[in-house]
Amino acid sequence: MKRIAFYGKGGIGKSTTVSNLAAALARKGFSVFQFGCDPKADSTINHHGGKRMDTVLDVMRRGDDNDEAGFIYKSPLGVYCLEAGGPLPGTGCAGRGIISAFEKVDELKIYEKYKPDFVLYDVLGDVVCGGFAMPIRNGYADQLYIVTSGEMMSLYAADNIARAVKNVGKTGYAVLKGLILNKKNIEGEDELTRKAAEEMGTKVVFTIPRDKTVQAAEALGKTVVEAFPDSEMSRLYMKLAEMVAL
Amino acid sequence: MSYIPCEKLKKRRVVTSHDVFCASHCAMDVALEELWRLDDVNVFVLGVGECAFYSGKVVFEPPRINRSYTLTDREIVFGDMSAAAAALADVCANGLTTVCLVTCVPSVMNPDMTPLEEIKGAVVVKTPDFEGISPYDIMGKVYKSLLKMTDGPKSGTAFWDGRETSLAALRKKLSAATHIVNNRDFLPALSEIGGVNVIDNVNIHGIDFYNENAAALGLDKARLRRAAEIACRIAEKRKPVTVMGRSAYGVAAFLRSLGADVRAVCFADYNAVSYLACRNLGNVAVSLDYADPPPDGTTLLDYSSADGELAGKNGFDKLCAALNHTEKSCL
Repeated sequence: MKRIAFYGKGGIGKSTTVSNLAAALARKGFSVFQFGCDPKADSTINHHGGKRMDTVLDVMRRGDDNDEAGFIYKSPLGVYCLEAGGPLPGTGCAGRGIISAFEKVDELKIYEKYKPDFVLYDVLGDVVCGGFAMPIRNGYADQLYIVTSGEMMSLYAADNIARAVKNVGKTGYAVLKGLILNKKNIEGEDELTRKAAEEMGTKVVFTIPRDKTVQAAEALGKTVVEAFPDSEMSRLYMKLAEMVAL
Repeated sequence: MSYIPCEKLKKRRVVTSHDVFCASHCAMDVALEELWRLDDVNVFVLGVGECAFYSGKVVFEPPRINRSYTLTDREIVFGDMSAAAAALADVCANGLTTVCLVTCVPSVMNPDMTPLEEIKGAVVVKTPDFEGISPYDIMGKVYKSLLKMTDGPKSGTAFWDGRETSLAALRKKLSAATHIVNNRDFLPALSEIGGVNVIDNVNIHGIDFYNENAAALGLDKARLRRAAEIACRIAEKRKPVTVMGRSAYGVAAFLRSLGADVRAVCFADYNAVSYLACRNLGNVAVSLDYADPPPDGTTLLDYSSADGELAGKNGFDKLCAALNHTEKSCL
């Protein structure tokens, strides 16, 4: 089982990238889990026609958490989806919520039961407290990718995450594999990102061009890989899957 | 730590040695034991297992209630305080004022406490141990929540020394026109009261303060003269000094008010009050460790051997004791 965490600034396209990667891996015949770690719980919606699904914490709040039936959904392409969820905005403790969701998955021995080849953690952009560092810190993920564009704020967030990983890097922590450039088509974006990666002590390992197919698929509530399997973008996500699977 | 400018003093706990500071109480525990003395108050501790374990050891005589509520993982994650509010309402049903002490974990969560605050007779106070410089600082906040000024005519003088055994007796004092505060726990509550005369007799002040308030504080003029004489003798030597001992910041204020060149202070009683006193003193180096050698070029006025004696004294009495020892050992 390979466990990979994806971090990056909010709105940069993490969930789109992770969803398409998950779909591509599933299409290649792998068993894949996509675990959304954002209290907004919108990581996996494009596997479900754009509909929000019940989260681990929704189910825990209701007390129906004796098994995973209430919070694990299988997409048409076979991706197992789950969302940690969180308390209502402005209440409770979202960080503790993430930890509770991870503990619930452990308690129910979900990975032992489903034996996935890949677990992809889609984590919100700002690692605001220890709860959101769970995927990279507590032995849950082996590898970490940062999704970024060439915009300054996005690179700044990427640098923060990279530094966090480097500063606390020790046994049990995820290893930073590199940046995935999700292009916004700003001037000199490739070069800017390459230089920033160099300063972070890493490299740009994959580039995703800006393409209307992505928005068209999302309008259908689907991943590109599912909605337009023969498109150039779908082929690109299959390539990303090959790289990640190596 | 070595001497640092008072502007760089941090408002946080300083633990120079865990051998010395072991077994210090947490803020909730300090508040609970203080409230135990007031025979018309319930306590409701909102926290986690350890808070309940320790608070349960303090026995309240019926009809008073000392109850704790242990938060579950779900309540922490979702911030749902409805069950805690129901438990608090149950305690309040005996008609006594119930102080809800909110400990560290719920304070970090910062949940909406409105459902608890709206319960008749409940007074909700956040008492996280990490908040104060000293766990004893929390009492200022607790009394501030319990003692709200009421309208109505004010007359007479009230002495706030903390000897009362009921909240009713404390609240009755709020009708006084002059408040002489001999216990630092009451300073935050009373210092915010407008329209009345509040005299801080906890801290040591400059000579002008004692001249102005001599009558209200019942000061013995002969003692005041003698204190001034010692301070003047120190000032006449025209040498920079470091003052070392309990409440050195206050003694320094008094010496300065009579012309002494106080460059540094060293004391061990660091808390919210001494922090503010140091900041107000200004232009002085501060150390919280008696082992630090005084700054170069200063003469040490060391009365630290009398710290035990000074611990039981307030304001002017403390000043006199400190100056007597200073005279004996240093002049």
